[in-house]
Amino acid sequence: MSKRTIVDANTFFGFYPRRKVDSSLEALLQIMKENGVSKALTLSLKGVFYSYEEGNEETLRVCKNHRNLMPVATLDPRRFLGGRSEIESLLELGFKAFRLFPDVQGYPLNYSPVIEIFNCLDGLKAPLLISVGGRGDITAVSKLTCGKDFPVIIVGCFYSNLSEFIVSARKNKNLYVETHHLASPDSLEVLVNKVGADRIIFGSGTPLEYFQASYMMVESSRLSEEHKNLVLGENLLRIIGEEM
Amino acid sequence: MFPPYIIDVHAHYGEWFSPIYASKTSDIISMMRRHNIKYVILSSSKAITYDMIEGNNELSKILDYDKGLLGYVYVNPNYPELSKAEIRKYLGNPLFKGVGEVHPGYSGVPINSENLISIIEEAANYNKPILIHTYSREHISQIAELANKFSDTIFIAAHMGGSVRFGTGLGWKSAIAAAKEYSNLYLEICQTTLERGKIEEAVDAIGADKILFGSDLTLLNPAHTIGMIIEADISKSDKEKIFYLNAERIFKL
Repeated sequence: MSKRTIVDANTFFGFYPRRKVDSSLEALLQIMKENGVSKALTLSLKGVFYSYEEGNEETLRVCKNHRNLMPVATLDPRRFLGGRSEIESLLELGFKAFRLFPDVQGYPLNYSPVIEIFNCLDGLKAPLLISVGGRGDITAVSKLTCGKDFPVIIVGCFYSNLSEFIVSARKNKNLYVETHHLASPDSLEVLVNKVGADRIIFGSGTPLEYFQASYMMVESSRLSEEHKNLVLGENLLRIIGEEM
Repeated sequence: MFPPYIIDVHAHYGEWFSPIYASKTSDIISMMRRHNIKYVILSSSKAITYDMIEGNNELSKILDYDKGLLGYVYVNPNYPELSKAEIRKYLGNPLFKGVGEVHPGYSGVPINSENLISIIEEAANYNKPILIHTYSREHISQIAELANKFSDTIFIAAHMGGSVRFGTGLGWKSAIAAAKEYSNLYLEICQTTLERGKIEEAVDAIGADKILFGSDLTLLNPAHTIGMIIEADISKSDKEKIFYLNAERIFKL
């Protein structure tokens, strides 16, 4: 087991309706324990597939009982009408970050309710994780958040849109990239070289994907020990204002 | 050390469209050492994406048994006669271990096309496996047709049918079902999205004897797929079959 401090930015718990897999809270906690993960940002899948309000309540309830879990609030732009006050209320309740799922929930990024959420987050400093799919998604997110005051963590970047992230991140200092699909042989080394190690955030997709697949890519990379530590936890803790 | 070594049955030589710079022969060898890969079976990315003849030729020049660098002959079903000539040129060479990665996406030709069938008729004379890119239920049904038609030839479904994420085509679940039906259909396991549980489901359904380690190097990092097998809840002996024993058997290594 690693002696590193590992903080995972991309985890879930609850029921997964689209294939048979154990995505229970117990499964998440077990995987974290087996792999030495100190802390994880997490959210209930109920908020992704059913109701973000009910999901957020469940996320908060679970995280209050498990100090190694940090709550992420899901926002569903297809339903969200609460404006900045609703987002501020979620922060007051203890949520550490927000997350959008345009890939699962099927809305475009250049979509008025999404733009409204970006405007509501401006200045609140809490990071927004956002899943991207095809080419053009990162460009759209970057354009819509450039100049605003909150970190944006791109989830699901892979070899096909890696250059899009790099070019976008050079212009938009808010952009960070999560690692679980950064599976090309030298993607981490290229990112460190082009945008810096402080813009890379470790995530695994646990328990829907294999934790070790993501972790071994970082651990076996040619990053310096200092950079591995940044990627595997220090960067995320810095931007959410947490300490170990 | 576990595993004692790895045989990678799905890798590439050459450049890709994305910012991947670790693609030279020296990078491949470095990656093999880092991940304890004894043999890697490469197909040319230039042959797949552009010029079959130039790509196969360049690949043939870097193959070296002592360095563990083995190859696939790439065939392009848009050019059946040229493809058959490529097979005759290379497949008798012991450094070329099969045909692949036949790619319906880059060629634009279905896996079960008459052109590809005529090419496989030529390749079948050499009794070497055929690796075919599969990333949908349709691809799996097409490779299953080939497995049915050429029952003495081993077919490997690269990416084992792709992701099942978001319910868009059943991906690897259809591949497992097809491999259960056809004894000569094998599954290679790499993908960008490594959905937890797929290895366990595959081993439960068909056993570990027809599951092969592949990385998609130089497009993907072998660590990604190695991590999946290390974590999978299957026996150590099944992991050994997947990491190297099955490949040793079917590629006669």
